[in-house]
Amino acid sequence: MLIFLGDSNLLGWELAEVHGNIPPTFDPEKDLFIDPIRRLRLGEGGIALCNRPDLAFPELLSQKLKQEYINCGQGGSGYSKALFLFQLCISKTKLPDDVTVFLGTTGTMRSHFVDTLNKSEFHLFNNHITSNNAEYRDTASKYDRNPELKRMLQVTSTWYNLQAVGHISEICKARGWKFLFHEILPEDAVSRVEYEDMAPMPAPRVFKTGIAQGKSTGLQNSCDYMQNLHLSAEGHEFVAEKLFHEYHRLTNT
Amino acid sequence: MLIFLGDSINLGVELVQETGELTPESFDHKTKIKNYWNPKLSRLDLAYPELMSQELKLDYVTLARGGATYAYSLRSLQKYIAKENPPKGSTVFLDTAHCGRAYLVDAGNMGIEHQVFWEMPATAKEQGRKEGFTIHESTLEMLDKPGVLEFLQRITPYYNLQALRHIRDTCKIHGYNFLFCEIFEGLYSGSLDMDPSPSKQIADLQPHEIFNSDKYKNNPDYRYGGHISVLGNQEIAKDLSAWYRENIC
Repeated sequence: MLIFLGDSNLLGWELAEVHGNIPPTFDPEKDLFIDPIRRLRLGEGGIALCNRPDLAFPELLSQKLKQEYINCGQGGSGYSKALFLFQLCISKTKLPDDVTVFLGTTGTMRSHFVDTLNKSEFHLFNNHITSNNAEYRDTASKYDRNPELKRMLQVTSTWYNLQAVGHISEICKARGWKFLFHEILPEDAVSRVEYEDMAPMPAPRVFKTGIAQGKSTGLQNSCDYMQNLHLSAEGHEFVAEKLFHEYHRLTNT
Repeated sequence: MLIFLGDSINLGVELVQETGELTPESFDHKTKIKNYWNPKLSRLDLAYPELMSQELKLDYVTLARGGATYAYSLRSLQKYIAKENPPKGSTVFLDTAHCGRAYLVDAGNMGIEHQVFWEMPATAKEQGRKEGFTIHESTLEMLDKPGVLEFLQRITPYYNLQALRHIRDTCKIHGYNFLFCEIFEGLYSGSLDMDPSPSKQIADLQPHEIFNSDKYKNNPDYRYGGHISVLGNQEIAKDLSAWYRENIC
């Protein structure tokens, strides 16, 4: 079983603009982990049409490895949100003993906040505070208009995101699951993992796919792997291929 | 090896008022406490970690700090493991702390942690001064703005519950025993029922990982001011030692 954690890149965002909508033969939600709040948000329309999860690297890697998978990717997700969805997925899914968890790099300035007493979630994404819950949108809007609050959250979010990366890794280790923290976007994009040498935090070592350096032939550069702000179809194939080899190295197969 | 995490309850705070000040030469604290503490305010020698250590004839260290919360305890444990690498089979005791306290780190200032402890509704500045902590001025400025504390009050219980579970998972992978000690306040269980969000799963401690007793909370003989009395510390040490013998030895 493979579990994928990360952001919109796991869902093939923006690929529909070039490759058209999801073919009717592919159920876009078949391998997607959808928590109850997200289900409310998706509504009857289901996953956004701009996504092409059938062309995204989780689907491609699953086919290559001939293993089932669960995609916990969510647009705008930071590491603390990935941890939240991972825990929810574990609690609501019967999982086998043999699991490999892939965590894709994303922005450490993104944040996920949970108000446990009022049962609401807030996100900090691209310097805006929003809420998933309709009844808390006004509250989120009030916070969004508070520059001091946003500054404080930006200063402190990295810490919680790094703790979340460490926690995901430790959950895997405690359960005997394999874990791979891997690069998706080039280092100079939002994916950069900052402050990784903030001792004594466990340095979140990232598996470099090489996507930042371009193809080994030197004829093409990393731009070929991008579709606007996300991975292109070629980029997804490249990442899937790299993760395929790294999986076999991890498992000695 | 016994490792204690938590707040002032671990340190014998207010026992000075009950019994008088500690005589420094009578108690060698150097190997026993790793964080800031004020010997004029607390009696580490009468606190239950010391008493348990004597009862069980085991070395101990307390990583507690007055006003600490679970997120701070997690950070203390990570630092201690990185530096001292305590042996497998060590037992970590985490005492109940207020989920509404916050611990913030400005990761952008490597080596200069911004630490803030406070309890609502006191402002960070007031609490920081009261507790004698060194708090970075820029952090104080950020926190003492309208709306900032209100937002933090909403979100800190979640981060604290995550830290609580993180401590448990860290213990598991290092081969340490773990016990969450609900000896004073039942605040751990105060925010668990928020389905569909996974608060219950976040802090999904198993029954054998929780020590819970109402007797310290409800018996005035075991309380002194806002903390535990000498008698209370003795009783906790006795009960936790019994748990240790039954479950660990």
